[in-house]
Amino acid sequence: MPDSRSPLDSLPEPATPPAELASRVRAAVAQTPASLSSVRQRLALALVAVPAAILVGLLGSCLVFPGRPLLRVDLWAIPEVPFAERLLLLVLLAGMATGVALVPGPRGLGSKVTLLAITAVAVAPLYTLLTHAAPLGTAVGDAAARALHPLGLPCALVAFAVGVVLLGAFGVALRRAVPAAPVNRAAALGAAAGGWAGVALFLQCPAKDELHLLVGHSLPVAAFALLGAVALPRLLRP
Amino acid sequence: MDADQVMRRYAGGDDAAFDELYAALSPRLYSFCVRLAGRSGDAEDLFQDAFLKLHRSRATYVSGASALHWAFAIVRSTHLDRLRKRARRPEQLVASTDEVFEAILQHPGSPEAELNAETLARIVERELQRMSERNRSAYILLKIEGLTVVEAAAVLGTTGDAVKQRAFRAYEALRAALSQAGWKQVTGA
Repeated sequence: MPDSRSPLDSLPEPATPPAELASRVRAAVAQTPASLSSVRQRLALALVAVPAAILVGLLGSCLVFPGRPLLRVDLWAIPEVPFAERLLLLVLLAGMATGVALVPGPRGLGSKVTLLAITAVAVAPLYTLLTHAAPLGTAVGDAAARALHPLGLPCALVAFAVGVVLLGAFGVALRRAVPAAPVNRAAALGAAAGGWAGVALFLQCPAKDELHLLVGHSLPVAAFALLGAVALPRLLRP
Repeated sequence: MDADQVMRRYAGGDDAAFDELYAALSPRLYSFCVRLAGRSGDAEDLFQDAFLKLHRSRATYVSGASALHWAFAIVRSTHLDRLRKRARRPEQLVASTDEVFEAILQHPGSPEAELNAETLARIVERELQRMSERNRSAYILLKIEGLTVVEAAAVLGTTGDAVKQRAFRAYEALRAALSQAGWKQVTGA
């Protein structure tokens, strides 16, 4: 069977690094401290940070906005099954985004770049779909919602606080650990942080108004993917 | 010597494994640096920076992963950092790639064969430096370092299709340059 070869197939091999370079590298390495905390340990800490950030964010909002309850006022009146289903879906969404963004993968270079991109783009629309389509509510919740800011600015602040803490925790967990596709990875981390911020809002705010949900809840969730892509890559690169 | 095992020891804090790791990784990494950065001075700086980063982020190495591919990704990330810095603070680049050939050529054989190899290397190196960084790195990993499409895609942080397209573009550019210089494609049995 005929085969076709090009001169490119017989390129000469490059030389080995000069000995002087080896001693330079050795000296530089000897002077440079290196962290020995493994990614696995750091990832475990980041995962612990998720419930902690949600709790602290919700508690903090009660202090910053007097009269704001820790959890939604209609929590005990709302139908249990639909509420649990919705909460489970939101937790699954944020959890899957977190998994895709944090997992080192078999090659140690993270999830596939397409999966990271899909995660970064898909979390906010899915969150919006889950919370806007047939929003859950009760008479108690509707009454309380009337007193809320029409644009949901306090909610946006709560989401920002929770999301920033988690984005920081995820960033520290993967500090210097992402040599390939750091922007995609950072955007996916941002989307995951936004997803958890959205869970916090779902637990606290009974609003059903479209504008409130869009500006106060969905917009901050969407903004975190962008924030991650802008703020984190430097931290993530080796 | 298994580079992955040595890397696992080094990642676990065994400083004594550094020499073994250097011996296992440095030839391929240096070759990658020379082909990626072009000028030998740049290649040496890139190699040193990349090894330093590998050392600093050693605890992030995932046991079971290919240490060489992980190191390739660090070299490429370091190279991109250097390009970004250079773009912010542009410096006059020397167009000649002569220094590279002294570093590249280690081709024992007849004087005629050496001359041919040198000419070939000159053309290829010049063309590699002329093409985009994306096409160059895809070509080097796929065609020279022998990575699979999936491995190269993971190292470059892109999709397999993108890697194939970039490497193909680079290959076509190199073939055109060689054909222009009088090299013919060889057909054999």
